[in-house]
Amino acid sequence: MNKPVDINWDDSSLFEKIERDKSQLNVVVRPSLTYWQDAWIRLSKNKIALLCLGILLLVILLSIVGPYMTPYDFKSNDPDATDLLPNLQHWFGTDSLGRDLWERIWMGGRVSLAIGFAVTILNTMIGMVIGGISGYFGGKLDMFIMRIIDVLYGIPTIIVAILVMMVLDSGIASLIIAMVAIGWIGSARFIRGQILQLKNLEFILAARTLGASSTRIIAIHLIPNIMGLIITNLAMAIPNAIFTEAFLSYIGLGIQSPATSWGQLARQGAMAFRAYPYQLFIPAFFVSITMLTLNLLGDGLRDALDPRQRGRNK
Amino acid sequence: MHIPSYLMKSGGFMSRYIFKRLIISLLTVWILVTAVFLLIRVLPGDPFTSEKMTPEIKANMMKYYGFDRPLYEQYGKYIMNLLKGDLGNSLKYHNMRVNDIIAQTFPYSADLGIRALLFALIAGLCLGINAALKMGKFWDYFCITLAIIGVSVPDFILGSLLQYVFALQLKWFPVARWLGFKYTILPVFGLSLYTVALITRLIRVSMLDVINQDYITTAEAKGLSTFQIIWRHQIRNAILPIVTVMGPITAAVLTGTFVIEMIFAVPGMGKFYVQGIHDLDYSLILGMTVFYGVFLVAANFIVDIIYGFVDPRIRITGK
Amino acid sequence: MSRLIEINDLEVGFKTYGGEVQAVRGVSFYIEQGECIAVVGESGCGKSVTAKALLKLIPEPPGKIKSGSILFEGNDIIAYSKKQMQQIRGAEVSMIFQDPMTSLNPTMLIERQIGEVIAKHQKASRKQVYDRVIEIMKLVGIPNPEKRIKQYPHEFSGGMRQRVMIAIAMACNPKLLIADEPTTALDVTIQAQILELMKGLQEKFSTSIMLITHDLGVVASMAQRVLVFYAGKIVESSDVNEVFNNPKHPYTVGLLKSMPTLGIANKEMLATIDGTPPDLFKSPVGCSFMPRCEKAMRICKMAEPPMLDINETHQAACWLNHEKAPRYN
Repeated sequence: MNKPVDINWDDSSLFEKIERDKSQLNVVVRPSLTYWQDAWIRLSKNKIALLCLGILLLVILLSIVGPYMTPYDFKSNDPDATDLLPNLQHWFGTDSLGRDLWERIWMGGRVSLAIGFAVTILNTMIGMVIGGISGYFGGKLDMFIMRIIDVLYGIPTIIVAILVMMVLDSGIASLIIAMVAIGWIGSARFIRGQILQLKNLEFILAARTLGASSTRIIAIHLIPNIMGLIITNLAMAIPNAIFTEAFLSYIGLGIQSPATSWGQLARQGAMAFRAYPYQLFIPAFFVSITMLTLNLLGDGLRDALDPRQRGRNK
Repeated sequence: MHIPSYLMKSGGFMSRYIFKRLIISLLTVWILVTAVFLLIRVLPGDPFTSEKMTPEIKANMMKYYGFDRPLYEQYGKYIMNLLKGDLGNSLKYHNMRVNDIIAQTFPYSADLGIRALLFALIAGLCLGINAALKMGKFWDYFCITLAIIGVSVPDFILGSLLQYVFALQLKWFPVARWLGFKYTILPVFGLSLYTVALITRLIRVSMLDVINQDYITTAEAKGLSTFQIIWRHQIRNAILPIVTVMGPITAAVLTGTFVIEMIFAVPGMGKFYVQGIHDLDYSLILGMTVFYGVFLVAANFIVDIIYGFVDPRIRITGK
Repeated sequence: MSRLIEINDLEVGFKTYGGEVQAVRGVSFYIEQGECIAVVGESGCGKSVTAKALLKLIPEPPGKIKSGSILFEGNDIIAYSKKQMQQIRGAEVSMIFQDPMTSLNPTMLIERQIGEVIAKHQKASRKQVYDRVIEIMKLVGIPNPEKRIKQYPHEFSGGMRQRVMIAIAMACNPKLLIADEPTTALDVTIQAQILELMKGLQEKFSTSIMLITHDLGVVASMAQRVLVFYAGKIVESSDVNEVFNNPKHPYTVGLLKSMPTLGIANKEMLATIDGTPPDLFKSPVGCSFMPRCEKAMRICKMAEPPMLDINETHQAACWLNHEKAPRYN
């Protein structure tokens, strides 16, 4: 409510017509933000997501520089220093062959993170191309691609990965091939669905009616509109890829000693963990914390990038 | 497209939908079986290199298992055997049929898996619904935290951790094996936490989504009580999406059994599967992979059909 | 005629990221028994919020009824408990919404959706509920009710769904029916049918109707009185004839001018009202319509106009109606 104003009712000028500045009429009062500015503001307000980003960057940084911080080598055995608890010389202790675990954790981190990121990015890129073509052009091509995808979708990724790993030599490249083999199907389906939904929205129809070319519609309208969802999905899929690598290495199909990854370390730790639990729990901690931060970061990104999801977690 | 129910129920659309899913499922199984067959045949080395045997015995073994025949003949024989339900003989456990090994070990895995699935459904539903109803309060944050940890800790790590804390240190539960109810608790919990977390998150989001729907306002305007609104209108619509993730959840529980059975020495199929990978027991892996594959495809098929029935809006196109 | 419901100085606010939005800023009006009152105004002017407030359906938080009274048959329902409100909703006062596509539960049979409101408010056996559902479906003009009752909302067209909504609303013979833009989402031909149906039901059961709309054509055919909302306030309140023939607020004048009529000459441009409604994060000083008003005066910047009487049944909140203001023709 307004404060009562003292008005001199005898003032005859009260009821004089005034000139208004018409130019200000249709100006929107509040500043408008672009999608990405808005998303960034939302993300930077999300303290949990920022903390997770920080931890994640720290883990990545340590995976890069960690191995140079101690005089040891991740491969060399030391028969005089086996199964040592964490101490001043060996910050995370040593394993049953006397290898320094600090070195192995960060060398393993390189492998696990590289596989996680590479697999997810490859899956998304293949998915974008196939799903995009299928969804945008539709018709017989879409029918054909979708039938193939329908059939392949029923096959569990992990079983395919296991089979491929049995055929190929163990190693980073093999793991990536094994996980991409049918891993792209999920993202292809997802992207096709998004494109189909967008394609029939009014603003795309409007653009088409105005004579925009396919290239222009894809570049200006479709891609920017699904980019947010793709990035969110990317962040959500990385922990899955890290898990799958760890799982395969854990059951003995992934990285083999002396090469290492977090899954391989967990496998070796599991063999010794009744006597030396730290050998399992240290790699377990880093797998879990990385997956946790990525999941939370993914949640934060989803809240920031997908306007439809807003408010659901608040 | 708008499909009136009398069309669906008169057998037209629904049976066409089921038929289509069936064909796709059969194709999936066929592709899987063929891929498995081809992959196994191009494997480096052969199953007998690791064992000490003369070339002569080896040749005999190869002949016995039919490895000397042309590929298409082996394939034809394999498919024929599969159609008869015969998965062949294990290479490692001589004279044991893969069927027998599965028959012996599957009940344990099924027991473990069903317990885990049931526990996950009940716990996930309770936690998710509660979190949504108490949105923004302590209980909500508790459930979200539990759920995010649940999806972030791999099951093989959780299994070992549970075993270490509750069996080795606190000695509340037996360390391993599968001999009675007490033995089931840690493995079931270790196997199901991921699924509990997944369902909790899904239900929470779906509940909050439903709360904002117009038909909830309609229900309020009818004068229904809060309980009636939550129970009749909200939960019923919010749990529908669960059906769509039942396929992936079954797959997750199934692959989880591989490692959980190893950790807790449960004599189930997963343990033999992982062992088979080590032993390069091709026939066993082949047989078990086919079994797993068919099992999961069948599970997905059933889920699709159930979804067609529970959601009256289901539109056959685009599904 | 007696006053069925009387609203005094109602204020509703919503807390948002940007601060508190004053959606309804001191609204007073009444509805008499058996009358149809129309509420008009552009999007976001507070008309839907006012309607929801009458049934206390404002989601809280973020919304809140901050002050005022709502007297239903003489009792202030602001103080009512949740339980007491539930007895009023659907039985005494019921509501239908704008979008029939989303207002029905997609996974529940029509029978149950209409039946549950009867079961809630009346003591009735299953058979009686069923019979009543069939009866009410016939009443709202749904053909073939015995078959349709066993169907789901997605099997109904938009107009038929709105009929179902009306059936739900009328199932317990309420004294007041609040219709929040009931025809906006429908085809023009269907709109007329739905309005015809509501008019018929009103005459048959002498139900009061609060009709929210921005279609002045609907107002003319349905309502006896009109409330014009602007920026969370009532700016003009009058008989339907007076509003069309003798509007006293420049906003009402603008609304009428922007309505296309058959008689309009081809070359004439349809008039629009320049600008947009004010941001309701902070209450504007002076008249909230002033920035868009053709006839703004100095006083309009200084003080908010009160409701000034034009005659017994006609009030408008505009300084032009002050005795000292210049007269326009």
